[in-house]
Amino acid sequence: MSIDVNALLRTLPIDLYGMAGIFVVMGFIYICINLMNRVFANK
Amino acid sequence: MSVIFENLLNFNGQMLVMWIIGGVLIYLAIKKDMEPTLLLPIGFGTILVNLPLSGAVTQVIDGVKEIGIIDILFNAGISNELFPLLLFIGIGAMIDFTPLMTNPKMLFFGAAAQFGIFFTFSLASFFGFDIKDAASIAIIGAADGPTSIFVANYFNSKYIGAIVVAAYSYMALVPIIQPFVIKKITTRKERLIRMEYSSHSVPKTAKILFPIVVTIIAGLVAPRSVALIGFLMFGNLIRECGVLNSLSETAQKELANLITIFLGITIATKMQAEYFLTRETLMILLLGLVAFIFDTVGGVLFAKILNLFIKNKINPMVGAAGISAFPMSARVIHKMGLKEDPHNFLLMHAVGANVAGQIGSVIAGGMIINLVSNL
Repeated sequence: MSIDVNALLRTLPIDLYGMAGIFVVMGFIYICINLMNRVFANK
Repeated sequence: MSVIFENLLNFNGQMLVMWIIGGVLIYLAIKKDMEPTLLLPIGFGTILVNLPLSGAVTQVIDGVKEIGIIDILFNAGISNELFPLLLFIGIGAMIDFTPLMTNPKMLFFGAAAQFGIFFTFSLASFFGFDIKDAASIAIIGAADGPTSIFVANYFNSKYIGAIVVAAYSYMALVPIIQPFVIKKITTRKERLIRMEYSSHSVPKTAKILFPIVVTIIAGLVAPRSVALIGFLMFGNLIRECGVLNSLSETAQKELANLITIFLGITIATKMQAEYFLTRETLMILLLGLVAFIFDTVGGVLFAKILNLFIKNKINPMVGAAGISAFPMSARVIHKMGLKEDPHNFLLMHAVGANVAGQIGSVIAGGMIINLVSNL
């Protein structure tokens, strides 16, 4: 097993896109929950 | 007489070490109540597959290949990802997303607390693991056994045994890992922050639509996560629809229990000495710990950053509940809150973040599969 700085650098965009992707999905779900809670609010 | 004992000649020291490891897993499961449903079958399976010329796993004896039952189970249920996906139906049926739907802001903690996955992904690559193995190791940070199995198997990682043992062991150690990390990165003043909880009811139609909406959104953004999230949400739909109560109960109990039995003992096929007793296994155990620590750090720091901009402050400890270890992490945070201030009830907030973490971890698994497969 060896230390590989290039491999580390290659993973950084994946980290960025991965975290951003999770936040985007959560953001959409957040909007949908708020919408559903309003549209179907218990009278 | 020699015929009876000739198999003893095939015994070696590595097998003895694996018996001890199997024994330790069984001990932890029974005596310490650490994820017994998985660690006990894995522990027993470890002994089973490390007997000399064990008939439970495939052997070539006198040039003849004899297929072992555990390999048959592995091919039938894990190599095609069937068992973890079926288990997700049971998990989905067990989860009540109401605390999250009452307070949907908690979703973002379920995202932030996946930070450990990506941090560990880079770290594992830095230490020389192949990128697919690094992704498989990083997903230990999902704090979710079936997701770990699914991703490690998707990438055909030879370290799947060590990854699963690490994932389940650290999940059981959440009550030790999280309080330690949280105390290191928060002040007492922050831990004393009180949060109001408004318990308005969630419309039934919204609860029914929720699993469908989540599946569609996750499927559109991360298509490879759709099997994972879809089965999780299918289980939840069975629970919430109100007309399939007996199916919901079956999914929560019989289905989940049956799959858990097979999953544990089948994973043991990767606990054979030649796969497990390597320096890489030790590295994987360390990297798994790093993943859990940085998940917690990610959730807590995200809450602290949010507090710079919002009026109603969030107790940063709630951010740590954004990992997927459900419901253990929520309970840990609730207890920590009560310890600091006996009148500070964080449970519902923590449960909201915790179920968000369940969604977040599955999406993270799908994201990492998507991104790494495209390389």
